[in-house]
Amino acid sequence: MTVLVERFPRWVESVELLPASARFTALRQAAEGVGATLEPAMALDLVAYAVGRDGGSAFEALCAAVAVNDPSFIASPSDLEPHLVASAALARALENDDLTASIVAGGILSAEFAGLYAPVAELPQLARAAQARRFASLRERVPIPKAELASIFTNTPAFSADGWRAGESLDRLARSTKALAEQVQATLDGLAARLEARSDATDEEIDVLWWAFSGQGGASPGLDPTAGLLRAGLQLADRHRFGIEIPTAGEILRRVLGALGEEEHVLAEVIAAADGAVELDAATAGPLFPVLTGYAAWVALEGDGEWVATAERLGVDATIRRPGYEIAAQTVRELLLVRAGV
Amino acid sequence: MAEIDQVTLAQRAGPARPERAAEHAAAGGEQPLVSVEDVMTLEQARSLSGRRGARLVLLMGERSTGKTALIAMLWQQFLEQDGLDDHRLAGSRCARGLERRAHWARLSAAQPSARFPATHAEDEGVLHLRVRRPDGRRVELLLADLAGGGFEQVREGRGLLEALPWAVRADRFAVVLDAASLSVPGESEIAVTRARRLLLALAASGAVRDSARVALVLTKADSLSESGAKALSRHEPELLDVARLCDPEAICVHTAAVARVRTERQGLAELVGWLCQNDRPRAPMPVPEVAPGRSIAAFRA
Repeated sequence: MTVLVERFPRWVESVELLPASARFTALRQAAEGVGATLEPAMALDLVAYAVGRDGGSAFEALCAAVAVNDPSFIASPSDLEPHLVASAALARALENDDLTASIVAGGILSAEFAGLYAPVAELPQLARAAQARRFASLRERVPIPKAELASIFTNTPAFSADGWRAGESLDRLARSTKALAEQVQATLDGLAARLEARSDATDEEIDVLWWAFSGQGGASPGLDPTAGLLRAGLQLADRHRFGIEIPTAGEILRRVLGALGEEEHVLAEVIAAADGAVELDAATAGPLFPVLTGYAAWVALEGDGEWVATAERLGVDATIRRPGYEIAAQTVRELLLVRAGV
Repeated sequence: MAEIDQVTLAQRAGPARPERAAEHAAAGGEQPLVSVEDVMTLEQARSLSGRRGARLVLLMGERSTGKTALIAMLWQQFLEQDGLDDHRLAGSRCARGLERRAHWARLSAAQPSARFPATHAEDEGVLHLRVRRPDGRRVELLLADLAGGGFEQVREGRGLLEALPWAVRADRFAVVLDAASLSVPGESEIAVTRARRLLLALAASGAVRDSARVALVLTKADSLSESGAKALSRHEPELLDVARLCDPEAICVHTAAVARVRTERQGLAELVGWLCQNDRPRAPMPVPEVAPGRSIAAFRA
């Protein structure tokens, strides 16, 4: 059962008065279509729209998808109906085991950090579950495939048969050998990729655990301790070898940061404490990148008092208060999203 | 939806004090919305609910129990007063329909008994009220004004969802009981039995979602005779128990008769508060957890 079959009727109760109507079907099919074919480049726009921010062309794409099945559908960007369809499409996209699902999950959790919510309340839970599935599928142990060698001799010439001809038989032998080599090559390539992924997963785990238990935290000589939140996030992101965050990143950071991670901090104060000394990646400014956008605003204005207002114009409220480990985990999330190429 | 005239409450002619409502709506930084549709069809209501979501209210009761009068009294009260229990009128898309219904209430206000025309099938529809709660949140109420004849069929065994397929979408179910009938010798048992059967039909229909609310609304409660009051005190707990089969938080609201509407506002504030309060909290659908395959995915601080 897909997530929409199970949950969509409940999600649209607030807007759809006729549960068995053609409109209901059109809304659901639009969510299914948009979600199943969502491209990574569009993913964050759709998240931004679902949580009530500017979503670029996401609204037009949603309306077009609904209009395919219900030409009478008319909505304005602020209406609840298209926001619900966007949220449902995101839930559908989270069911895929691909890069888009990773980006959507990261975007939804970023929005949650920023205090932005979609009309579908369980979207962050679905995002966490999708993240855990994606984590497992990228890093899980995989069985070595059984080589299917039973048929490799079916095309070889029968030298003992009467009337065999050398030229024809050699040609068949060459083709058979080539097919065998290609099959072995493909198997070895698959094995190599799997072994490489497993090796990366193991290395990642060792790196993260060594880092977590090294006792350094995010601290650095000459760096304000509060800025250690951003630095810890950067260090943990650097240790990720796959484009999806470790589901327990928050717990790991809590252990690493200790009391600093448990205390609540104002995001603007954390950014200011870093004083531009933490080398964070550049990101496209927007509400789904509160840490990187705020940081970029601080750096661009060299800490001028107007930088918070600048961040606000870019859709980021830098005055939010969050526990330290959440700020660090959000830094990890944003860096992984940027490094995924969004 | 047909193109409709947009007029502000202050511009609308009327016997009450609509400018107050306009002031209150404007105080919220918002243009008060009043348009002069008579009633909304379900299709029109759906286009409204698509904007912000809406709360669908189903008033259930037999003929002459006072369902329409209740809606008219709400409208009248909102126009006359500074609001009901700090709930303010923020507009309506069905001002004409509400005015038409309130007109009869005004005519009857000084009379010894109310004269209120029955709602016929051709007059059925959804009436819209936009209410601003004390916390500033706007609630779009869609009050279904239906003929009582349909509910007599439901009471007699017709499935509620067969009669009203959209009832499954309702957010509030108000089962209306005419308290005056309790005062008529020999009729109180009949009235109570009918209300009970309607409540049981509601429970059996499965139309009440886990977030919806149910109330028993007693109309004309101020006209109860002594015997009627005794009958009410005897039967009210029992009816409330039946209502709580559908909604454990079900309440009973006593409202005044139309004829006394200018002097007695009994129960309307409580009714509006019930209509506008949050839905019952529903348990979120569980999201299946993914069993961690690697120890790092099960790390705990």
